[in-house]
Amino acid sequence: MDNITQKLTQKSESTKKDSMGRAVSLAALALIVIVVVAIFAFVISRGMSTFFKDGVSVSDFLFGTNWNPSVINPHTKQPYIGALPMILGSFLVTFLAAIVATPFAIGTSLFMTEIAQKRGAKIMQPIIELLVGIPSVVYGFIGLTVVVPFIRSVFGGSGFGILSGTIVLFVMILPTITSMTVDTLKSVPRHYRESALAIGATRWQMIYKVVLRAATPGILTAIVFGMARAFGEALAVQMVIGNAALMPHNLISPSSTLTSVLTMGIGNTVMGSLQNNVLWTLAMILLLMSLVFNLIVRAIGRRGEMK
Amino acid sequence: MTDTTQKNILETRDVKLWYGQKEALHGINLTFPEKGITALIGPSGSGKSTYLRALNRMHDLEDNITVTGTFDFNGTDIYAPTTDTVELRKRIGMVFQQPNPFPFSIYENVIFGLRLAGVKDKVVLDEAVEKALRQSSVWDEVKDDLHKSALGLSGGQQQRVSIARVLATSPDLLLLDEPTSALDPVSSHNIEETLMNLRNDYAMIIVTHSMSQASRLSDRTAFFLSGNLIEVDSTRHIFLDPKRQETQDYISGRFG
Repeated sequence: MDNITQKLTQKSESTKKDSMGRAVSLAALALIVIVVVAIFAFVISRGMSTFFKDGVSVSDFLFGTNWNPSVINPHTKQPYIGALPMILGSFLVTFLAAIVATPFAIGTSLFMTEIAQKRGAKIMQPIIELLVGIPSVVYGFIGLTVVVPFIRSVFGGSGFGILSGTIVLFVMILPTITSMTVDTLKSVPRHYRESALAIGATRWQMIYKVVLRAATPGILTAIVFGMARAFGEALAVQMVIGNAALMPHNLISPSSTLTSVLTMGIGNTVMGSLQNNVLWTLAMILLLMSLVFNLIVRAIGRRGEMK
Repeated sequence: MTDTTQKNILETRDVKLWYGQKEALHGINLTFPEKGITALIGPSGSGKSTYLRALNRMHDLEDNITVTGTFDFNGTDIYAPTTDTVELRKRIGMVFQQPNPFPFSIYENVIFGLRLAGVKDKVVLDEAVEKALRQSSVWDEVKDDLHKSALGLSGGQQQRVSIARVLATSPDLLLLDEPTSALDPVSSHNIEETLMNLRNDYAMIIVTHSMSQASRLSDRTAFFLSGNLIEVDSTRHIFLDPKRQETQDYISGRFG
């Protein structure tokens, strides 16, 4: 009897292992939280010092159209730090790429899930996974050697610009949007399809009026994820956009994005200088935008649940 | 209700069905009168649902299913290559086991079939919604919430909205695949009442696991076993005086 009491009041081997596992996963979680918080704290403190330490006004930064941090404006005694061209450039390539990619992504995913399920699973799935895995420098290189000369010969100009950036980003985010849309379409319950057909819907009516409608929140989420990827993409865009910190006059004039200015400039500035700080401010805007994209995804998810 | 005076709406002869190489229905001969309820009963895997789904060509959705036999629906051959499945399924409506309204409003659900047919007149649509919801005896419960999501309704109400959605396209024949088996007893009772009210206007074929439901609802009962039709007769005969030993065994609960 004593033996049983002893066993019951002592921690068993499995209980110890249990708490071990708990501690390990908690530690992993803590590390990630610390890293994320540290990144935010670092980027924001650096980014904010442009405004607090160097005394640049927020509206000058956000709405100024002249970017040349190493040159001092003789009238205001301030360097040229208008970031509007890059902010505009980033949003333009992002939205344009998403607008172009979405119909293709929906078409491809419908083909894979509704029209040719077997071939879709066998051929398209691996292709899309492959596209996701191609390094962005490869996309950029192809953009540089194929897309830019093509744009140059068709539209004139240098070929570098928003349009080339859009085309490269379109190919890059297409697999992201497609594979997420495929997952959403697959999760539309089979009985929606059956009852639509049983009521006399054609296959197209079933897809258009029931499947796509039921999948709308998921498709929107997929698009936002694609946009987040496009917004944050640096290397490939930098290779084709022309990297001139000018307001984009048209789709084929050389311009720049937040990310391309960052990758171009961050190695050439001294830590703590104004030229360096403004780059951190650009990074802060990127970080905040990815936060915004995240919030949008969550909001869509919540609205989808309520339906 | 005897069916000698009635014309048949659907006659099937020698219906066979294969899943790949495996024969699942071994030659079913069944006819259905113009009005009234026919119940298909039998243990799980007896082929009754498979047979039902063959009647509006739902098996077309699967690649490896082959169906043969004669299906004469009001003079047209259901499986003729020239038969338009879209038109066919408007004539032969189907209600499924799971209540499955679309994630739209109740109103949008009911008029779905009419919208597909291109009806745009608001007055016509409003009338159709009220008529269909009254026929499926759910009007009084939902008339104030027509523009709320149908997914917010109880299971029984959802199933009656699903029935209304089918009725709105005014089919000639209604297929019901275990329409109450996912519902609680009260909701099941409501659905049964609904079907009772429709029996004089529609031909209905109901697959059910509940023998008491079959005996309460149906005018005729067909007993399926292992892909064969064992016996079909008036419900009264099947339950009180079956001719075949297997039927006797099944309805007295000896197996299944």
